[in-house]
Amino acid sequence: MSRHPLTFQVLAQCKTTKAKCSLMTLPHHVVETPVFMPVGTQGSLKGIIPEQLEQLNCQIMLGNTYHLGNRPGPDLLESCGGLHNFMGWPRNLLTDSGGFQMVSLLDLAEITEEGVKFKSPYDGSECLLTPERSIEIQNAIGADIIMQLDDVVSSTVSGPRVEEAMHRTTRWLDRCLKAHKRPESQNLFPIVQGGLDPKLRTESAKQLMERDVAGFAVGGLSGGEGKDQFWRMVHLSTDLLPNDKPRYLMGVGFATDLVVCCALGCDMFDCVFPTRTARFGCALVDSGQLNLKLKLFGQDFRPIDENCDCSTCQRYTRAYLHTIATIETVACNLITVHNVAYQLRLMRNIRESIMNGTFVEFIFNFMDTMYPKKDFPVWAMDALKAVNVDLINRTKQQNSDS
Amino acid sequence: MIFILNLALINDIYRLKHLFVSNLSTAEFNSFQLELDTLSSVAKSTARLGSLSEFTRIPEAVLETPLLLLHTRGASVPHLSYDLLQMVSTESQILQMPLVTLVDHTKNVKAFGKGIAEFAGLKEYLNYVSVQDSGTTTPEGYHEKNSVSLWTRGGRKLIDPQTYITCIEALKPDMFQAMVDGDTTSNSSVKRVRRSVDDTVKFAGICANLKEKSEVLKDTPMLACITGGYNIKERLRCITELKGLDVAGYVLEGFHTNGESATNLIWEDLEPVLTETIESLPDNLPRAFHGPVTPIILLKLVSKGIDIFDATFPWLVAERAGALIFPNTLLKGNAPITETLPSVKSQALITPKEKDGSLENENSKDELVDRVFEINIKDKLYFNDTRPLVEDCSCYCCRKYSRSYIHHLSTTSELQGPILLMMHNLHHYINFFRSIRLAIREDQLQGLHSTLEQFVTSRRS
Repeated sequence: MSRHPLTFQVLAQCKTTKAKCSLMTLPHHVVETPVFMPVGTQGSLKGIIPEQLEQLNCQIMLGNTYHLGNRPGPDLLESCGGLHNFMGWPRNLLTDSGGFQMVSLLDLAEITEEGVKFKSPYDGSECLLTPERSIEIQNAIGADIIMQLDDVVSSTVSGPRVEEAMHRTTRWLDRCLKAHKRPESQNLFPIVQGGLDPKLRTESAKQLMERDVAGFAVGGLSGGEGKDQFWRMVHLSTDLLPNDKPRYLMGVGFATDLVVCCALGCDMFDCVFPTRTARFGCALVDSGQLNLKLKLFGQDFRPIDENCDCSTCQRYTRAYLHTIATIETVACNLITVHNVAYQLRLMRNIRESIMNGTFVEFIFNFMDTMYPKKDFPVWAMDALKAVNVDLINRTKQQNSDS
Repeated sequence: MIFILNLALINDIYRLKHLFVSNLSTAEFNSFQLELDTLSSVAKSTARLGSLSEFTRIPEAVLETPLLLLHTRGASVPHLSYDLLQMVSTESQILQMPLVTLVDHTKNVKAFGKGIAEFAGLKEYLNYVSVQDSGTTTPEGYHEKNSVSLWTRGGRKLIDPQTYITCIEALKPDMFQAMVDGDTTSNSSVKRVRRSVDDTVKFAGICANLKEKSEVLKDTPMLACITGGYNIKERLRCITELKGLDVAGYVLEGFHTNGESATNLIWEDLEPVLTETIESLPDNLPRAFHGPVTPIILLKLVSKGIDIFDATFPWLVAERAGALIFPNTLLKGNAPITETLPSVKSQALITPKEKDGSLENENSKDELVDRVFEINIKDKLYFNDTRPLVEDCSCYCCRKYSRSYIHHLSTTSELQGPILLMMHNLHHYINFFRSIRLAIREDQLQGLHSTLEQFVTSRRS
């Protein structure tokens, strides 16, 4: 029996790669993994209402502690029973710690052992985000999964700073665990750091695994690092982390990345990409993106995707979306619905193929569709090879999982 | 086609008048049935109940008047996709589609071949193409011979009547407005007013002519426009010169230049012109008044005999983070005001456009009156207000969310803010129109009017 408000049951394991299909139970709803979590930064998924997300069978989405901690603030959220009630979302929420936003949004962030010091963007006053404060805000928000405050270092940084951050992350995890007032309804995940150094990553994972937690996140890997280093660190991290607890790879969301990282053994993902690109008039399809603002769609009377069953594709054409993309806000709603549907369907197809033992075949089909000229990204080929999938020499052995 | 009056009259003079006009012709595919209100012989109000029906494309649709057209931009209701619109109302509606927001794409709609409604994924709805966007102020001036200026995103487009009809043919609407020069206000010169009538009449003639010859449009009802500013003589001249044209109804243009300018109508100036104008129009054809008129003016227009309005006012309110709260039914007539509302004279209610110092001049009172029908959800007051926008409102937004949440969405500029406000405001206004029709039927229009007047008075104090 789990001490945590989370159960994780592996339903099927791919026999070739490290991919697995599981069922995660959280206080508000069940989550089928691998799962993609859309990001609703300020307490709303930009331009769509919760009912539309439910219709798409989204089971968990993100909120950002940094933004929500400022507006409307933890006191208000606590007084109305948490973010679920406030925004009318009955399913699961996950909040990040606020650390990442701070470092990426605020130039003047100074990181000390105490916490992250920064100047408030609203009134210029000096603020300090400590592990305790981050957990306090996240307790008020009430998400089903909350993240520790980590000492996040850009993956382009090297040297002693990286090791310092790795150790501090562990110390901050302990402070977070101590400050966590609602362990019976919220799961606190630690975040593996260590930059691009295998030794530091290994040490980080080892330290974090000594704590009693329900799942693990892999952080510091969606920044400016090269993809070649990226996949190696993911691969290493999933080798280290236990298989019977969810592994959350933060900030990953392009389709190819999702497929490869599922093969590498990750269970949870989040990214602003699909919702952000929708606002710029770009719709996701199996071959990449359609920039609906382009004139060439002016008389294209097909839906975004003829095989898509989302409400947008049932009723609206590329030609019409072309007339309103980035002009009328309706376009944002329509394309966002489609893009979220796309991402969720991709994950569903991944899960189904793992359950059927045909995940490798799925990978081949996916990559062939995405890269019809067979110009597969080198990093993806390498990463897949590391889990026994050779995109170039597809032997009979690799085609079946038995 | 025979025009059938279905009414319960108690006014003999009224009945006699109608026997004389009972053999007027109506557009073949759009029959307007008139039900006169049952008022005493000292009929102060000439409000009417009617219906628009027998549209070729959707024959089963019956739309009761006074009617609320659903305003659109780019062929969609602002902020609301089909799914969201269905959550506001599943009833038959007519969408008002301003050509100015569509003209950049008529070529593509033409290639599509099935008309703008289906092109925009809204073929279940009837649609009416108008010239200008009555919710957005049309720049004054810029007149050139034989054409009208349409201010699109790409800049100013000059349209002549021939091009106009070509566009309408591409859009294939269920009803459309004749091309019009409605660029007059209460300040316009006689020369401008005269010119607007001359052009409007000319345009109407050309449109009617081309319509007749068009395979696509020959059976599509066209509304002719009555212009003439605030000049009674010119208004009557317009009506006279339009006689003989086969039209399905009238649009009373030229009282404002759309957008905010329609929220500042002064009834005392408008009323005499309106009375004379309507008196000279046939009873059995519908009259439309476009623009975001405020609810009390709207009721006055209804009682004068206007049948068709548009939903630009609820949209404008949503755009400025406002939620409509005025009493939209008779039942709440004497409900005490429980709102902890800021004084309507509060600075917090000023939108950027009004920052040009107009606060100090005499219009300022009007500006403030405009916002008396709504709450400014951005106001700090609503930060932790857990009540819905309007208590007992059955719209999606009020059933689910608090003012506090909408306030949060608005102050953080989240797209969901305007979406929810629009859903509420539109729902509120649709119910308002339901109440108006009920009030006319039960001779309670004056009661509805008083309810609103009381509301405004108590808010201001």
